Amino acid sequence: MNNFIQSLAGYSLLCYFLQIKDRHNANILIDSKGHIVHIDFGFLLSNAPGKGIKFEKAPFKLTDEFVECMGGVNSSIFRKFRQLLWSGFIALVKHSQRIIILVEMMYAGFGDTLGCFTNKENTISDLKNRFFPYKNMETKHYFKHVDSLIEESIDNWRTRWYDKFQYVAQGILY
Amino acid sequence: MIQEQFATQLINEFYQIFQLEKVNCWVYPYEILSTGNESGIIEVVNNAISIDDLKKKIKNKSLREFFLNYFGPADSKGYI
Repeated sequence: MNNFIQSLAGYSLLCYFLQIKDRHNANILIDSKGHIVHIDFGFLLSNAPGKGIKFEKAPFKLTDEFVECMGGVNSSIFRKFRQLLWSGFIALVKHSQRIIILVEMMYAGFGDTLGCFTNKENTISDLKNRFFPYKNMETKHYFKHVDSLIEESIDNWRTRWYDKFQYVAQGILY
Repeated sequence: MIQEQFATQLINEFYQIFQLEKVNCWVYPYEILSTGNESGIIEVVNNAISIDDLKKKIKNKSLREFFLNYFGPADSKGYI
């Protein structure tokens, strides 16, 4: 479970900041130590599957099944998971320049020839907004912000709907 | 393929930030080498199975039931 929540927190943050999409169960692995590992990064930053229709609106993919694994939203494991998200989020904000500069360099080099830069300059400003959603945010404000992202994600119906769509379209179990 | 490689560079950055700040968030910094638009070399993630394949194997059981079966009861060392 420790491995599970540490990896779930890590990938939740990764998928949120980079807006990695197409997160159905065939693109999420689970290893023998209980870690989850995401694969297939065909859709990130500003492109998503489906022409213009965006299914996966939840900040993190936090299905009721993942929540059930942790023993529900009121369990001590879920509390630990929440703390991991807080501290991970704050660490990433602190070093956000490292991520932003890499994305900016890639955009400078490839422009919108790469699918992930479909939204052009907005791709960069949207990324920055995810690190700094309001002006003059201090560390203490991030706790509340992360909590609201968690609430929004818990069994977000769009995520569930996307899994159902994948099941119908490709036989991927949800 | 370039985009996949770009993604793994970003994952690496996340990995290093978590390490630097001693945060216990975990990501797998795996490697991709792009050799063209439609080709490249991708590292294999060892001892892992997609949740989709796992669910096809465990049939009607939930992920939690699988965890309990595989790692032991909820209060056991293996599970925690």
